[in-house]
Amino acid sequence: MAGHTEPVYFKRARQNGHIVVSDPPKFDLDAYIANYKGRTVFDRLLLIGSSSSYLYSEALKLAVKDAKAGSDVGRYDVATTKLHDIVPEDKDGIPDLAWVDKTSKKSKIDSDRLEQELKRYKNNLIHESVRMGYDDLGQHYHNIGDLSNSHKAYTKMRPSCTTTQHLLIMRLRLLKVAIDQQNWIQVQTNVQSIRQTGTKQPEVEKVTAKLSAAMGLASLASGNFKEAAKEFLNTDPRMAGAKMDGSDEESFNEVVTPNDIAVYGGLCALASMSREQLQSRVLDNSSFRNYLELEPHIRRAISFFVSGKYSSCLSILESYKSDYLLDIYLQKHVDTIYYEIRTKALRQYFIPFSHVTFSAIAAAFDTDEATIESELTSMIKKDQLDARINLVDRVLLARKQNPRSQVHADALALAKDYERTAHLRVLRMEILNAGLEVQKAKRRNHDDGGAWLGNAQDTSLGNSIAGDVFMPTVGKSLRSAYRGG
Amino acid sequence: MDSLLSQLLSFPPHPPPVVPLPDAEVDRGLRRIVKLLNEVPAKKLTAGISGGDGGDLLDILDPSINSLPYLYVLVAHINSVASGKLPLGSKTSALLPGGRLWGPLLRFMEHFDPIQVRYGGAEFKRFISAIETAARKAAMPAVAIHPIQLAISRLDPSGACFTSTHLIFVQLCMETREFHMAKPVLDKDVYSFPGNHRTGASNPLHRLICSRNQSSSNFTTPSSGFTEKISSKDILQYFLLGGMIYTALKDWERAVHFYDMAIITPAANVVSKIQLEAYNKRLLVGILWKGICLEMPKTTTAVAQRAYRATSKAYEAVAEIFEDSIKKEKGPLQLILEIDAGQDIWQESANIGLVKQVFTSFRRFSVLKLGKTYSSMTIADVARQTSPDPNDFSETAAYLQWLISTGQLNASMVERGTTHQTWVLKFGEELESLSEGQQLQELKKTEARIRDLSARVRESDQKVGLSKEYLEWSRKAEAKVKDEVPAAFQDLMDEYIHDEDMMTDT
Repeated sequence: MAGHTEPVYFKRARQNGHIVVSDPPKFDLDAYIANYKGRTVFDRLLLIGSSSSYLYSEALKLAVKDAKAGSDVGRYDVATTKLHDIVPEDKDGIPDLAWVDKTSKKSKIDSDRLEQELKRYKNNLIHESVRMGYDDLGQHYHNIGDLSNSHKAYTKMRPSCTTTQHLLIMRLRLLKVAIDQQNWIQVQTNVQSIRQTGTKQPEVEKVTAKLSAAMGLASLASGNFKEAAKEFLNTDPRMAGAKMDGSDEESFNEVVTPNDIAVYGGLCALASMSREQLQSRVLDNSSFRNYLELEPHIRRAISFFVSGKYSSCLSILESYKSDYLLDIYLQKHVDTIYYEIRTKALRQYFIPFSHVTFSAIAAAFDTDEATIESELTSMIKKDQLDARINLVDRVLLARKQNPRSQVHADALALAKDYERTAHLRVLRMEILNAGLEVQKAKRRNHDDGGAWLGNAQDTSLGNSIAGDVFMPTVGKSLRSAYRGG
Repeated sequence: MDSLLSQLLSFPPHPPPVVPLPDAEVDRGLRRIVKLLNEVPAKKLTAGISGGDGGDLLDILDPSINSLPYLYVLVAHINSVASGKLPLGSKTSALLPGGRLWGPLLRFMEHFDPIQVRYGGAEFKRFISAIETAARKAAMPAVAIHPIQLAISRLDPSGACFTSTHLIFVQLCMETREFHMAKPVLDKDVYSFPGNHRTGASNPLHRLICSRNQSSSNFTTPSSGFTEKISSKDILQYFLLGGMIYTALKDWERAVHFYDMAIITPAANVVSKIQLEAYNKRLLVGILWKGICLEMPKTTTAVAQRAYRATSKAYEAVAEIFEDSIKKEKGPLQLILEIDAGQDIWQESANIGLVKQVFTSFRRFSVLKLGKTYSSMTIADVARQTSPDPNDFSETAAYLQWLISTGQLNASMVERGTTHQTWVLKFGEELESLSEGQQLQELKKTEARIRDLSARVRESDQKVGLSKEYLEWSRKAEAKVKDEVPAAFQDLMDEYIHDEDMMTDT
């Protein structure tokens, strides 16, 4: 495999702060990608190709092949350019211009034809034909990668939709476009409007799993792990057993596989839930179990976390990290999720103690003391751990809680604030009442109340106040005070 | 002459009657005395008494009982000295320590009856300004401070009403750098101003100015003579100077409050230079106080906020960088650059001393920040994270010792090993600073202060209720004046209604 010498491209990418994975992932690329269909295949391959310095060549070649099998010229271009950037001598990196030309011409002809047909339907005023026309047009645009036109076409279907079934189809089409566009707000809107039509209806019920998955992805993308976990955990089990060959209408593998649901749900839950919640809402969740069984290591990691074996849990997660870093939806969030899980584990570990030595924590988390020290320090500084560190004896101390005096201190602070604010307000009122507000000066001299007009020339503020007697003295007195202190 | 004396001594009755005289009678009596004193030629007052041993009136009158005559006689003496044919040097020296009138002056200030003096405002003011002038002419402004401080705080113990004397007083304290002397006056919060708000209806409940529980704002008016007519510049100066005095005393909290008062002073589409000055100083003092860039006070108008923002960029930058650097433990480098860049600005506005203090306090706040994360650490660790020279352990130890001994750091040091490097700094618990008993006391004090404050609010409310504008407004609105509360106060009370409840519970 081409992984011995890392191409320059990845070194540069790493310098620019992009994620580069050099370890081989646990999965087999061919088997992995065979689980998906539709546009996500290319997207996933491209992501792997541009971030794995181990799999890049294989992944990009597959991506080029996949793009050439379709009719999206733009993606073909992207894939070949990327491959050329990384491995300039690779033949697949040189675009087949004849194919590009042919395909774009064909796409153009198809677009024109569909638009013409649509126009005819519109003149005939047959709703059903118009709807179908838009549907065809939308799908066509979706296939050639013109997502915004595809979205437009689907939106225009709206007035021609006569049944709830039609509306549902339209919404689902829009949902998929939005997911491909990674426009998560649109995803949420569409899911919500489908849910509003009533989840009890059989047509809607069929797609509930897809809706949950899409919603979960949207929350994940915005970094809201708690909400994402909730959606993924509630995903209807009907998708878990779906066949991946495209024949099963339950499957959602143009977006995610059931394995993905298990991984996303499990990780988000680990990052956002307490041990009790993990037990009751993940491990004891009979419908989510269907998914969790597909990824037994996630299940093991959660069980370890629940039973307090944090180092085992973390080491499982660590061993799968490169897999997750190559996932299209997880990549950006892996580090945050792992950090959350780790800090939560530290917090949970510390709960029963009043003080613990660094060496004990390091042993429990299977690292060295120095790492633990820096981790604890940064957690305390970020207010994620309510404790203090004794650096001399190398011990972590729980903060003494005294709610009673805390309440008193809070009350005093509040009262003080009230006092100050109320005084200022009364004062303000009295000044107005006494007719003493600062007025714009009629003549500008030093006796005019020092009114400032925005472009005051003389900046000797001292003069305008009370003669230049006291200003220097104060300066001096403070200076001497400063020396004294 | 004797008849004059007996007339002067005729009121108040001595010894005092068992049942205190009704206010109306006191009022009549005192007005009679004032009328008399105003009519008597000054010569007669200074002449002394004929017959007997012929002593001075000042020796006969008791300033605590016959405060008004005593005051008039004193002023007459001062005038005669000023216009007399005495040699130039002794003209003013009479009112200085060792001078002829110094003793009676102090006696008067220490013992005068504040109620009687309410009727002699003009003379009282004249007297104070004579003291001030004399002290200034002799280039000894400091001697005037004590008598004037007595005058202000004895006349109006609540200190709630501002007078022109207040300003003279703080100016004197500032010039002479007698900051501690200013505290008794500045510690009292000002609530009202003698202004032209007498245009509205008068308050029938408080007609008599001799009434004991009379609020000071009712007898301190330009017409009563206690104060000159005040301008907005005067009050702004008072606030700014007060803030500066507290700054010099390192009472940051009060200093910020005084600057706040200047900042929120309403302005009609302009901002005074004094207010800008106050805002700048407030930003710096806010850092010294809490180590953060303070928000503007809640009552600042939008116009003023814009003006402050526009002109205080350099100061705000320093404050923000300070806060950010402490929070993210970035070290003082950025702060140094920012302070250096603004050298001219600090120099020009005479804030260089404060800016330097801000810089030195950076190290203190860095150490304090460590206390939030660590419970104890070696001097070497402290030095590594906060000291200008991370390898100078003995200097770090000395600095920490200084912080602890001056109460700026709640911590203790343990000697461990022979070098400073291995000494241990133990931070105290944050909440242990107040004991249960102290806390109760604090709460009680606060409660009392807030009760006092509510009384002030009611008084202000009443005043606003009687103002011409409000009456006109309410007539126009055809509202029932009786149970209306001015809208602004309604807001204030609404906002704090929960706090009030809480305070009464505790």
